[in-house]
Amino acid sequence: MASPASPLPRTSPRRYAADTWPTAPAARWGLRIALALPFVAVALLSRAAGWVPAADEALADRGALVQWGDSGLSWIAQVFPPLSAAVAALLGGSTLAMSLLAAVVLGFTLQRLTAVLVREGLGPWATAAVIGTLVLTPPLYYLAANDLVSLLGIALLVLALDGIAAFVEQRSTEAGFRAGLALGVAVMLDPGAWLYALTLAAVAPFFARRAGRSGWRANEATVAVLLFPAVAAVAFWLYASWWFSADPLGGLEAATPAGWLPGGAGASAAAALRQIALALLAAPLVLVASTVRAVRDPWSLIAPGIALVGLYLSLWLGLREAAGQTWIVLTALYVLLLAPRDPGPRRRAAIVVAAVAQLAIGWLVVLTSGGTLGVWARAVLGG
Amino acid sequence: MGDHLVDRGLVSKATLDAAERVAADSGAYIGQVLIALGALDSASLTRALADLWGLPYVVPTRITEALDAPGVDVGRVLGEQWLPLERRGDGTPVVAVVDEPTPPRRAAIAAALGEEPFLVLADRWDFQQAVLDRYGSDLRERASLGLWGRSPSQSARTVLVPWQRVALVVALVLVVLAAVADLRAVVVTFSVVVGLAFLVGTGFKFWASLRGARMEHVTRTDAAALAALPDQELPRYTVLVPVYKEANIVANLIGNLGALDYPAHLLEVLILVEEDDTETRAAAEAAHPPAHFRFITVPAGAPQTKPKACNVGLEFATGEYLVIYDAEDKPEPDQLKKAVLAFRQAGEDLVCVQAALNYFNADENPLTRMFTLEYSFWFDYMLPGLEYGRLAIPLGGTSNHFRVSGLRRLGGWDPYNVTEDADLGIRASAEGLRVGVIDSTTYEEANTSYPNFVRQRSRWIKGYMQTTLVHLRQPFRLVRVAGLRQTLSFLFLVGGTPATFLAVPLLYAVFLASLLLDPQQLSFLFPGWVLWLSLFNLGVGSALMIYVSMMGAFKRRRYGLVLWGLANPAYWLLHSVAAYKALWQLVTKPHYWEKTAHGLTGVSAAAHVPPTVRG
Repeated sequence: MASPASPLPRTSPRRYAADTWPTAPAARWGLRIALALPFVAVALLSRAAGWVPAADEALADRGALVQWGDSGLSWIAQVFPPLSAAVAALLGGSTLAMSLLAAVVLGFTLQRLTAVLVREGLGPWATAAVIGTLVLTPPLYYLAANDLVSLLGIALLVLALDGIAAFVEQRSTEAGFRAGLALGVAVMLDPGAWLYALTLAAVAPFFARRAGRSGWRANEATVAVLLFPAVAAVAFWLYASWWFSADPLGGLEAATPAGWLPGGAGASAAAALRQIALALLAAPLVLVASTVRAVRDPWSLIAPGIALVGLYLSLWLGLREAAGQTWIVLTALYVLLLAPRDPGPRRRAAIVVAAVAQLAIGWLVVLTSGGTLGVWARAVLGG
Repeated sequence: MGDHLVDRGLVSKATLDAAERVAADSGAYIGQVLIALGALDSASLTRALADLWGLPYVVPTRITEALDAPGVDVGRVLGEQWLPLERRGDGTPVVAVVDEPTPPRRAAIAAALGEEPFLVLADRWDFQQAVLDRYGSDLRERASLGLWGRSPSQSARTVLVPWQRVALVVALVLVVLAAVADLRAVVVTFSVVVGLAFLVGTGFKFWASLRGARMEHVTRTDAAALAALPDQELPRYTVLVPVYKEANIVANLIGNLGALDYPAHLLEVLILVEEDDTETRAAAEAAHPPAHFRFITVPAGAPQTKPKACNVGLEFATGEYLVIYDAEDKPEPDQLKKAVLAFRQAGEDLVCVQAALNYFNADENPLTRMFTLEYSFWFDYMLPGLEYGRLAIPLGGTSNHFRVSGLRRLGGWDPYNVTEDADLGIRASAEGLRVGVIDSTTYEEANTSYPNFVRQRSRWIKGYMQTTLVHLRQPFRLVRVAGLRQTLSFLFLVGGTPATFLAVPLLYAVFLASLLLDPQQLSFLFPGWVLWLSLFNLGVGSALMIYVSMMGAFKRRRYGLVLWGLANPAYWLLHSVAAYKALWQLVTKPHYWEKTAHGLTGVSAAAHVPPTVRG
């Protein structure tokens, strides 16, 4: 707890916020800019290489449906999720602008993830190594240059996960506000975010129990404050769609990139399982941390386990495409849920080794596989 | 002094020794300690002091003759603590004092009277009663018209000043003319105004609440500094308890305030009883309050309001700091000490600190649940958020702790404003002073009755309307002195709150209409952006306000109340009923004080507040 003496000599709660690192605003902004610039550069390279970002093009099409100030609103159901459509409309449908916006968002998100690792006491080398797995490998660049919606969804997921941890463990209602609002905004941005919202709400009571707060009232309240913004947003959107549109669920049905349960329920389940397994194999950080936790404190794996189930469900339902997203989400889960607190020198060294291995695997998979990500990487690199 | 008391047989040697130890530790006078311990009553002590100082002892209330002393008014009598009583047979004026008659004091009295006085010693409480008897009408006038006399523009005695009346009439005429020319345009404009009022009101509250949430991990009072605060460094503290028609609960306040962790000899609890309310006074006296609890009879006369009673109490307050509690309030025991620390660590411009209010009967019925949700959000998020931004804070009904000198500088409470507390907080900001918050809670009784709730809320909302009108009388001065941010926050919060509640039924009507009609049928009233604004308000504005109230309950760990936040739209409808009643009353009886009945709860405070508060 911070302890400024008086309520009135101006107290500055940001100084004491756990996520505020670096503490000097100029340094913080400098870090954000430094982390965003490579993504700007890669976005420009991607355009220069003539790559067509299909997901962003689809978003631009959805944004084109928005008619500002229209009182008919018959198109309202078709633009779901509406906030990302509105963003695309505001950006004039420019896919380059979308990539640049993604870079800016990543500047903030990566700074926050760095701050979390600093808060957890990983030390400079381990922190740099873990963040390096994200900023020195292609998946996140691919997402930033091609899929603004998914990137915003992941950024909000990071915000929500970080908030949930502080909310339920430290009873920080500020963090609870942040997590709930992040999920509320996410469901209006990313068609797959509702699944994340449900998953995180399912995880929350386990956190609460670890924080010594149990009882169904506490669990119910925890879930309610986390889910309310998301539920309210979707409910209101359905009401508005029902009122103005002939097909209120049309937008929801079109929310998946390749349709619901692509290839059928069974095939989709098998594909999702394969993708998750491959992503886990490509993420030694997650594997090592999970193994350590399984030995030392198996109960602490419940929350990441449920999050993993949520990830699997999103793939199975077709709400997420592979192309590195699963791997990015797993790495973010590592930072937010699995990274050890105040590790000793040996564990720090292990983290660095795992991170370097993950980095190498990341490149190896991208360059040797024939997937979209590999094709894009080669196109950008001029290969 | 101690030996003198023992010699007179008033206290035993053992008691004296014990009291001397306390006095040495606390820096208090031995007499004060003996009274606080209950070893001696105030009158006996005064008699002994009179004997020691060679003065006659008098009970001034027994002297019916009033000495006419030109130039000596009640302000001077209370400020300098001397009261002309009568003339002796030789024509010498007899003057009652309550402290040692030092030569400078004697000289000052002689200078004021123009002749040498014959001094007598009176007990402090008898002295106050004598002042009330002698100057009752003057006190009533000062309490009622003091602020008005000093600064009419700051008083709600007049609802609208001339330019406001002219502006209102001109606006009405323009609206009528516009309606004749283009009714649809007027209705659409009205929709826009209502929508914007709702948007700004709710948006500002949500923004301030988010900022307030940031403050939750900032410890306002350093526990070590609080624990280390020695008694001898504590100042005298006055507690005002205005009561009216509260015979059923007034006895509780003795237990509730008796639990305060503050040296009794430094505490003065003034129970302000209206002159016509003999029942409450009798009930309070029957409860045998301790020596530091005293009664002040508030002289009858219009307006018969709580702020008028508080102004009378302020005249008699001898504390460096002052706090107001209601009869049923149960403050956390260390609240006064936290306030002292807050005042000491801040500058002189800090005139007031507000403690949080919450309810001990939260789970009694749906209304008390909603009330608790609302207060949790208001006091735990809103006010800290306003303080964080150094914005104007409208004070809550009780548990406002004042620096007495600052309060007097502000002119006390406006007895014509029915939310005198909110008005005072805004007036402080408008005068360049500051209001803060402390991390302490007072538990109160939530309203359990719906009609009682509407009455209470109509008064609060009417008071916010009055306050808005009062402080907008000199808008440019307000901006110049308080600053643009303060002015806007005042407008958004104090002006925005009634506006939001007035707008709620219209928004709900549109929502209901949307369930029955096609969009095209309403499009003439909600063209283009007006529709977008209304939809945003309905969806986002309402949801955000529900959300902060859910969070407020969560923060207070009242988990069972969190889902009750979903009932907020129904709760706002109740507010709307109260808001329209308030608007009507603002026109028909602006100064009428809708009395809130207390003591309706079937829940005991002691069983439902956190253990630290039970005392």
